Amino acid sequence: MAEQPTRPLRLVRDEEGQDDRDVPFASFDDLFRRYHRLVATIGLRMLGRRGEIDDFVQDVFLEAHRGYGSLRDPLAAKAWLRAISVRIAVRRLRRHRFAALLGLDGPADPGPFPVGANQEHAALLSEVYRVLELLPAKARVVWVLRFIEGDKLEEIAEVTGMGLSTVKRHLQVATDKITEVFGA
Amino acid sequence: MPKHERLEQRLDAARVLLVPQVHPSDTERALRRFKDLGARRRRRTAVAGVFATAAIAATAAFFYLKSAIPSSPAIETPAPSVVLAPPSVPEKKIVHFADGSQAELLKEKTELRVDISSPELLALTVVSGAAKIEVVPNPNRLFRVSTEHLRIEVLGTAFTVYQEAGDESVTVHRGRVAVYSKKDRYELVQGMTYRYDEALDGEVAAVKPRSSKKIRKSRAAASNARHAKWKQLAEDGQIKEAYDAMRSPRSPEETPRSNDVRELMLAADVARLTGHPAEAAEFLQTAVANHRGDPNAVLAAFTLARIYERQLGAPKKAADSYRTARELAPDGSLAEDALVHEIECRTSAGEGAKAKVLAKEYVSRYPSGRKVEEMRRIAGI
Repeated sequence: MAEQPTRPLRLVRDEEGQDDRDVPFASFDDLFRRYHRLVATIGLRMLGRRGEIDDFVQDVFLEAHRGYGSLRDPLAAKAWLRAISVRIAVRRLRRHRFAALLGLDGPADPGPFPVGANQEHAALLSEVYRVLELLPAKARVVWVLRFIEGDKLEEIAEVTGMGLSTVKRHLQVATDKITEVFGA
Repeated sequence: MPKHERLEQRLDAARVLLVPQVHPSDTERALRRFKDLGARRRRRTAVAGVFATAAIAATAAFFYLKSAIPSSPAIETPAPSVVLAPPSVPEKKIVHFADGSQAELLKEKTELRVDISSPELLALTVVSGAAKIEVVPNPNRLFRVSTEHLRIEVLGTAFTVYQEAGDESVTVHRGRVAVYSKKDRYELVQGMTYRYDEALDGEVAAVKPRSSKKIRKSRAAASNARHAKWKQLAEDGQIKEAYDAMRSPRSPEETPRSNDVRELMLAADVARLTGHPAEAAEFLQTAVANHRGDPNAVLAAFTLARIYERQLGAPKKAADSYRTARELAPDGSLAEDALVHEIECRTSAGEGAKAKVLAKEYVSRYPSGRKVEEMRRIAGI
């Protein structure tokens, strides 16, 4: 029996709001509305601190506003905002590490998670982010881009502005640490 | 399996928890805060710039006046700090329709064609380019937009349609739409995009000649149903005629099939649009009961709940249906709205204690939710 054919339409955006195509925007406000959720998601995944997302979003869009006039290709707005978000995240993570050295910072926790969330997943993420706190900022960001955001190495190089070999080096540092802690 | 690969697999499943709940009202709040902070920063920057300029000018004046040596160079006053300038806004090209709906042409060479304009149907075609369309809700009028391979029907929503080489798609920004492509119907809600894939369509054509007898028979039956009069009329936008045909079928094959969730939802739309909410509810009850595993079941449950709530005045049934919608997709895009409406309906139905428990659940589940303050009051926390 022949298989039923697949439908000729495919879903390209899921509930996470990720879109594989940028749609032109008409104003900065439009840009803000369209990508607010994207930036907030990156913030949560990079920083692992829900309470910091709002401030992170403000920092990203402030920097975006400064460079808005020089954005030549509106269709590349998403990639541009991701790069800004990653830069801001590295900056914030370095501040956190410095504060932690002085005993002035608390641990990262990506929770609280929704009621009914898979508890095993929630526990895993809490543990992962505890380990990520031990990493240098760039290694952590590269690891999150690779294993949480799902970016390819070339995409990570582009969004971070690093060379490919540098990306691999940071990724190795992060992976070694995480594997060491998580064990079998 | 290497240790890190096992971790990767576990992370793949867990990463769905790393998506913040962001409602459109949260975005508006953040935008307002951004503008307030931006204004304050501009004032601080401007004030700092003025002070810096004044200080430097004073210093320059001091050295100029004090110096008696002609060779002392004058100190240049640096330019003041850059003040945030509002970005330029490109001119929008908008087509307005008589009912208040509008289409914004997103690209230079966008061509829109009006095919039908009647009290019951407004039909457009996006011939080329891209258009963002906002439709004013009107239960008595169908708003349809077509591209080469897609037909999109809306009941009050905002979406973007692309008709370009390699990109024929629709993205829903608000509300929901029905998208038709050949024999398939899709329901899209806010945040979803569907793109026509020519490679997959080619695959459909290639499979047909190899069909077995069983497939041919089921396809013949499907063909009969596809050409059922009420369906054809509904797809052509003749909703009243579709309802009459549905209620007076020429043969059993022409009644909506209970084993086809999409057909049930189309029948429900026909009934609802022609002012028969109780019949619409029957179709949706069947859809939810018989197709719980189908992704469309969530939308069917949600729509059923709204009919109970708004048109049939049955808050308890509405609450139960909202609960069903949440159970079918607890992390779906409709889950938060479904919980809010369930709480409101439980209250209306005199189930205050249940509403209170649910409100606590809302506050825990959606700490940044758009209704969190209201739910705190209901929950008494």
